[in-house]
Amino acid sequence: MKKLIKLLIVISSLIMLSCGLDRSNPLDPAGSHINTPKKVTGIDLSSSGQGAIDKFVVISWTPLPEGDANGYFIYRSRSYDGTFDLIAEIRNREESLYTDNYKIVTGPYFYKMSAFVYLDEDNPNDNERLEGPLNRPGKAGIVVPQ
Amino acid sequence: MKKSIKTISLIICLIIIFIQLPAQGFDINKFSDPKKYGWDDYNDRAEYRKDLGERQELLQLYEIRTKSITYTMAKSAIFPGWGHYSIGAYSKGHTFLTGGVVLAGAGLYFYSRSQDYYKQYKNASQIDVINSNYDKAEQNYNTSMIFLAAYVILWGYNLYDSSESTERYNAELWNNLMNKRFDNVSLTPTGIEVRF
Repeated sequence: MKKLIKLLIVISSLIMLSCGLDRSNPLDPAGSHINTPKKVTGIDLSSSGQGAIDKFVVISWTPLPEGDANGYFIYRSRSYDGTFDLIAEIRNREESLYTDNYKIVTGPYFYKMSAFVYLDEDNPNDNERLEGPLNRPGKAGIVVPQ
Repeated sequence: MKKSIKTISLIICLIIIFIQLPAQGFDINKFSDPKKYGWDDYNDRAEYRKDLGERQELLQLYEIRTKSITYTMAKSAIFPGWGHYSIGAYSKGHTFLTGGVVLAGAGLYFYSRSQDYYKQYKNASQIDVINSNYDKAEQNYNTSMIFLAAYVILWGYNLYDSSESTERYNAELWNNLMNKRFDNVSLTPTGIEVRF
């Protein structure tokens, strides 16, 4: 009896060890040759001044070196922990500035940024790109004045 | 030529038979002993026949009520505990059935969760989402494997125990039948019952 139970435990353990979940996502760096994009740093925010009719927020950052990114994503939210919506895709790695003037009104705005790399840099495809870790600007957000 | 072969084989057979006969030690006295079965008179013989008839009846009853080990094990293999129910071991049946349902249910629940996270992992394109979903999928998958392994152990033990319990059930059945046969006086809810 004890032998039978031991045998069953061994068989079950072997089954458990032999089975596992494959890292089958082609964009997973642990399962493919793709490099993880680096975190975007040096993010800074500035806004249009007092009394401006067309209000805007300027986001600037330090461009990542070649090989670490192919472009950037910019997200925006009206609250610190709210839902961040994608507002821009910048396909130029050397870019370091973006002006957000889409429906900007008086009030606080919060941003996040990330970099991305294409799975195949020679044939860039928007459906096959890996997005890196998200990062916030040095200051939490910016208040656009009236 | 053929005739000579036949004759030789016949002689060999006869020799073998004659050699074997004394070896068996045929006892003519024992063979002709009228008391060899322990019967002193006709009544003894009649009693013996009656006893034999009763035993044959018991055997028939036993064969009707006995359970096949293969049959109970097959039932237990389909649903843990089912074999135990068929031999009246309800407590064990409940335990195995409940244990089986709980372990298999938990295993399938965690497996299903792991597959949900795995789908999200496969569709993700952001590194944090990829890692987070893969970790959750793996964690749920491992948990499901632990429950399913425990289910396999329970299932195996249930099979083993159904075989053992059926053997015990059959032995007890025979003993009960024998006891009932010899137990002519029994206490019933309506009083004392004496069977002749």
